[in-house]
Amino acid sequence: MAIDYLIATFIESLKGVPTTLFITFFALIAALPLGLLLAIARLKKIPVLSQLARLYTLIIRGTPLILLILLFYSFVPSFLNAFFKAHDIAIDIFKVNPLFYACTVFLLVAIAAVAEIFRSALLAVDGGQFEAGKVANLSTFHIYARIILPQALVSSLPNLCNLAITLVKGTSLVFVMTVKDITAIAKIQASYGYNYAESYLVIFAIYILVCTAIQVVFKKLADYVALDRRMPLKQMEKQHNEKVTIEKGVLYAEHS
Amino acid sequence: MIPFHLERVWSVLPDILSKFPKTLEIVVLTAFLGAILGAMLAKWHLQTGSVKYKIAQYYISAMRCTPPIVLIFLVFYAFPKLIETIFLVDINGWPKSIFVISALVLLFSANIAVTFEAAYLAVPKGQTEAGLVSGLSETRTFFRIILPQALVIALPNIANNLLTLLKEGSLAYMIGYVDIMGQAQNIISRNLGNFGLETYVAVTLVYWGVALVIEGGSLQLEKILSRHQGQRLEGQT
Repeated sequence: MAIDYLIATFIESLKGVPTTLFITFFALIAALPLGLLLAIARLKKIPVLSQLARLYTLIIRGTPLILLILLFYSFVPSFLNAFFKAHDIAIDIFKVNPLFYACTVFLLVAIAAVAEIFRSALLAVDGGQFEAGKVANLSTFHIYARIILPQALVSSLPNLCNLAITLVKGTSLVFVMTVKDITAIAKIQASYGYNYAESYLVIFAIYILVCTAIQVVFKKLADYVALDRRMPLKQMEKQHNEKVTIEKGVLYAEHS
Repeated sequence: MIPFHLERVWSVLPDILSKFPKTLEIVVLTAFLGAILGAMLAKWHLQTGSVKYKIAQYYISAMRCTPPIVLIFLVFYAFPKLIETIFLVDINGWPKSIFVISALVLLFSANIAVTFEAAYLAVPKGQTEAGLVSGLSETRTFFRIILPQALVIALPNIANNLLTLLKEGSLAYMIGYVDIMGQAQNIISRNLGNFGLETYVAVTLVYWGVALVIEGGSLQLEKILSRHQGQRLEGQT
């Protein structure tokens, strides 16, 4: 294995990181409001929308990502082409950047996941919070915007971090759409001299670095938003438990 | 409108289904081997502070960050090279399923280890103590008392992991393994790139079928396994 090749590929593949991160965070951020709508539709049991949301989640969750990408990429461009032709719109669909399709597919995936995450997060907010808001004479909209949602967002952060990592891993498949992300660049590099093993070793490291960075960012974000009373309380409880552990031995502390 | 021939979906379905055992082979073998490795990892990860704990932790977080396609390619290209350098044996000709399964086992074991560990920790400590107090050995306590309870808790997550595994397995076609996805690609190339949409829809239908079976099966199993638990809880209150 040539060290030179590894370093050269590493630097070359790093150029794919912005593409990967762009797709991931575009999908994640754009999915937040849409996912929230679906989550609320399911929680409020809005007649048709609720069933549609459930079906949508099922379909997205039951289909392998590669199939979603292939289905989307073989269907949407030709569909749009036919549509534009029929309506005399002068857009050449085959010149559109494939990044556009990649973003759309990952948005579809992210919406389904975000809806599930928000649904559980909204369920996790204590019902008393809503009642307290009502007692304080806030409107329903205000209760949601000011009291329920901020709490739900904080508690859904770990799951959103998981989703971001899943999306980063998913973007390794966009090379079938001819988008030049990390994996695509490494594959191209490898194909010059059949250095596939070295190339994949390099991007293996890059993906670990990228995902670790995302985890660190989310951890910082979680620390930042959790500056309400809950954090110190939790720490106090932990310290109390540790004290009991030392005094009484492990067995009793478990049940205290 | 673009042409879509629904009858085409039905006509390719038997051809795709003929490769279904290959998909099943990957899922079943990976699940079995991955569960063994995952149980070991979970055991290591429970020994807080030891070297084994560190190894398990780094392994799990590394695998969590690796895209399945990268790992499959890495195992497929790098593993034979490694073996050839060390043991001077050429394993490039080995069946592709071996490479796919070993890559997926690496991924699946990390995921399932987290599930196992969480389920083990969810069983109250008092259960172990009660078992030990009534004179059961440690192994017996684990297999007769902890495991049945932990299994019920872990079931939804195990089903979820199996679904993920099934979906990750669809990437095996990229190294030339012919499962239902690979067969679909073959059919498309046999039609000179035509009827792509119809063929992919047919594959999707197969995957949905399997997903429904896994999901339904886990729900049924959960019902069966938790029937004693429900009775006991009712008796207590």
